[in-house]
Amino acid sequence: MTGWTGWTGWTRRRFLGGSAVAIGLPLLDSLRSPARADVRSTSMAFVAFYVPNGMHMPAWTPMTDGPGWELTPLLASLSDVRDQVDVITGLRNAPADLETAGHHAAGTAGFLTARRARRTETDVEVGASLDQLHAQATRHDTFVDALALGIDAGDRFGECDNGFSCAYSRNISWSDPHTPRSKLVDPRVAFDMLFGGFDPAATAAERDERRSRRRSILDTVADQAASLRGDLGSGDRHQLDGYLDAVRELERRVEADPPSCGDALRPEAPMDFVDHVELMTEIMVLALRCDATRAITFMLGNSASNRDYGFLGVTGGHHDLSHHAGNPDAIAALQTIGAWEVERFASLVRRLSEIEEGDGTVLDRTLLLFSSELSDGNGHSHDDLPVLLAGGAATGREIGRHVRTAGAPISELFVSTLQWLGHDVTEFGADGRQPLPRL
Amino acid sequence: MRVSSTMMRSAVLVTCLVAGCQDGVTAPEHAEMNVAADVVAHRLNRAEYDNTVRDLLGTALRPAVDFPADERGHGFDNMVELLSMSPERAALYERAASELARDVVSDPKRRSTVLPCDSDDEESCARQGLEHFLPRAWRRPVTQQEVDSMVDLYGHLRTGGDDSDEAMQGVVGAALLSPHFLFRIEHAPAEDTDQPQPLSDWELASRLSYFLWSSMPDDELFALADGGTLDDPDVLREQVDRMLEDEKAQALVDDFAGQWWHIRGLQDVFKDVTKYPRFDDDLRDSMRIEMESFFSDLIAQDADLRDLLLGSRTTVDRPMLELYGVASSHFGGTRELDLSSLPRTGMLTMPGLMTVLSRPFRTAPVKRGQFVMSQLLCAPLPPPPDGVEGLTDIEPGETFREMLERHRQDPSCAGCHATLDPLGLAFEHYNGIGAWRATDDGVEIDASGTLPDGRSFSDAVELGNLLSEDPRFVECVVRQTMTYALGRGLQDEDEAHVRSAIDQLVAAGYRTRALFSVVATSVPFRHHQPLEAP
Repeated sequence: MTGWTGWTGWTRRRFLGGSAVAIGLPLLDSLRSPARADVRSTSMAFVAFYVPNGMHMPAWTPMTDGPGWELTPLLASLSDVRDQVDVITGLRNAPADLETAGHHAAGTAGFLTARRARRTETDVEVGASLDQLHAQATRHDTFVDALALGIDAGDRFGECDNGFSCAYSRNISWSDPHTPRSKLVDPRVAFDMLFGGFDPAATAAERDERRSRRRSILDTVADQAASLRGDLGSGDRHQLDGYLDAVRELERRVEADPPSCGDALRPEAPMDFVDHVELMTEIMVLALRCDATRAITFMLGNSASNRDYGFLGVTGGHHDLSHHAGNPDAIAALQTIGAWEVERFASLVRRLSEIEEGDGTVLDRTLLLFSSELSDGNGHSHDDLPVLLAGGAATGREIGRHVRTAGAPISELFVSTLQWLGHDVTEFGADGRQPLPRL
Repeated sequence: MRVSSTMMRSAVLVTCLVAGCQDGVTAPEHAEMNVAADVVAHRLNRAEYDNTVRDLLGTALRPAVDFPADERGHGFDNMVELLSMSPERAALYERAASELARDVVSDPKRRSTVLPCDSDDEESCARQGLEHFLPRAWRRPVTQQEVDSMVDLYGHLRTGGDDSDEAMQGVVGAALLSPHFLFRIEHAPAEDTDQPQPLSDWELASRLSYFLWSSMPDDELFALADGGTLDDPDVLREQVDRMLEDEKAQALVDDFAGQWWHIRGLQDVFKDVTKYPRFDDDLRDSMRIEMESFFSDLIAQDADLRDLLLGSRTTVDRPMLELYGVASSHFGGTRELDLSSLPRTGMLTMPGLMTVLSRPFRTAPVKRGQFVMSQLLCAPLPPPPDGVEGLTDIEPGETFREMLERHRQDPSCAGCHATLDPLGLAFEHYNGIGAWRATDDGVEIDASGTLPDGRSFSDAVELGNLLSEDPRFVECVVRQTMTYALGRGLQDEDEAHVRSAIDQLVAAGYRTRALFSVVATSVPFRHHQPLEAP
């Protein structure tokens, strides 16, 4: 009998041999109700797309409200998907607003949590993030409960932001107030997380053996952790709890059917930043297309990233430029970068809108949030944040408007989002007590 | 990859590690476990994981490159509280464990070392192999039940269709996925007392090896733990000396100095190519190697650690020599450079450090000042007031110094910048890639300044001298080392012990090896963290 080969010794790049397989995901059929009036289902997927250092809002905010919003310089690339995207302005993230420095870290920690992060080097605390709440609700229906992706692992030295642990700057996804969901920055590893270990050449019997083998091993180590944890008195079990949760999630994945859909090529190592972003975008499209997960977060860069955008003809680091002090060249540079970031988001939205599923598209069952940890980077403002909400037509919601709020908490948008995602909630974060009224 | 010679040791130790031995001390961990009140589970970080599997299995594989980055606190990525788990991490550990297991089981030579057996009977052979392997993998004696349970897993896999190799791979993989491998577990017994609770010798052995080697203990440390003789200051000092001479102490350079002195920052730093055409990946490497060699030499020569600020000898390759502005004929490899005739001092003004503490196309005096305050004096300044960050623009014709002076006119900025700016401006002679310059944009550089206590300096070399005499420097060196060694920030309860360590270090003539000894023999290092007050 053949042994369990695990994931290495696996040199074939083409992960699924043979002809393309039609996407047939039973769960989604229940979503395809023609009226689309009152669809509430956890079949909806959520994607958070984070860009660092804010946005130059004067070039962002459309002049008119309502549907048919005019394309401002920063939003121009959304023209062909405009009717699938809401521009929501005036939102603020008060919990992330500090009296002293640390705005990038606090803004990033509060990005999907709407909570105030504790200013500390090690005993981190903020809140559970919106994507992780959705992951917990959908985990039994998807192969992977969530996918946290990024580009920058993080610099290797020094402090990150005025006494805030680097954990806050490098994560937007928090499975609980103390535990960031560490992101994957290598597209090959992300691919393997979704599809690795799946050998199309294996027979059903072989697959069962492998499954049984993994199950035995995972059971053994879970027992060891449980008994270790059981030995503890009142001590801190946090680390071992995290271990047990993680192992249980793996056990669940062992039992689950790996995602199968179409041909998927394992990516190569990224050649440069632009390639890296494109590869990660492809991973997101693949994961959604195959319904491998319904909770994805993506950080285009870490908080306060000082990336050089020379390939756009821009001189200077992004964070440095965001402290423009009114300098017109710096502002122009920021706009160039901002427009490029929106274009990357537009590209993801467009790709999803092109994948047909039943009567609609993958975009119809996916809600995508685009935003940043700040609005004006120069003043470290958490008011009038740059926010886009795309997709989700299957919920029956109105899409394609400029909604101007007057300082509403962004956590209210998160309440609305969770409701569209099928959650029965009316509160979220520190200040979200209702869904966003204008939506 | 060279297999560690310590792997070839005797089987005597092994037997002891299974059932416990010596004077009826059986598996001490378990005697205490049932009444433990506090447990610290300190997850291995990436460097520690790779080093540990290298030493445990003799493997050349480096699986940790795929693991998500470790979070950082207090400037280091080995802080207990920040080393968390996630499903991704667990999935990657699972994959790594199975690859590592296959790698060792399929190599007959390494297999016979890692899982030795002298029986023809399959089950006995498996049992023997595990009795040797598990205590080393889990860094402590194991109980009969623990071995039995793993032998049961072996049997279960065999029944399920695995051949003997595959089953052994499965069990080894399980051992490497176990929390006993992935975490350093420290149990504090539940005694109702304010007194700090001592670590067990096994726990201390791991703390010591992860401190100095970022890896598992070797057989000698295991033997001392087994004999119950490790937790003795003289023994600890001897071990520190021995361990610092081992090539595995390179980890202190890579991980401790690499973070404390920002050497790791060189890997990612970006420079504008038009401004600094000389800066390429080779020069980047040269800079890193110079700093690493300097730190490594401090340890090897047991030099006065104030040489970090005052040292006059460094090892450089030709590109670095050129960067230092010293003419030479072509040579390969490296040679020693005497800094005493140059406006340079110790590691403080090395091009690598200056490069990291700069921006893509200019110097960063404020960053350099902050480095001195936080990394060398452990006196970080409070955050700037709200609504402020980033620099005001330099006006045409203005020097950086003048711009900073103008900035200090604002009373809300002056408080901190009065201290910060002179420190940073002292380094203005070293440009964005650390090369010395007399002028900046045609204007003569003024690197002089005054410290808050009134002492003045004319340049960075003199500043280095003043810092070396500042008691806060040595205190900070001890604090940084202790933070790294403990994997946590220092608390009030540690203060008395920090002071004691400093006194001992001074009494030992500021010797670099003494630094590591005083930390390793300190009360916080040898005891559990004080329990939180109820």
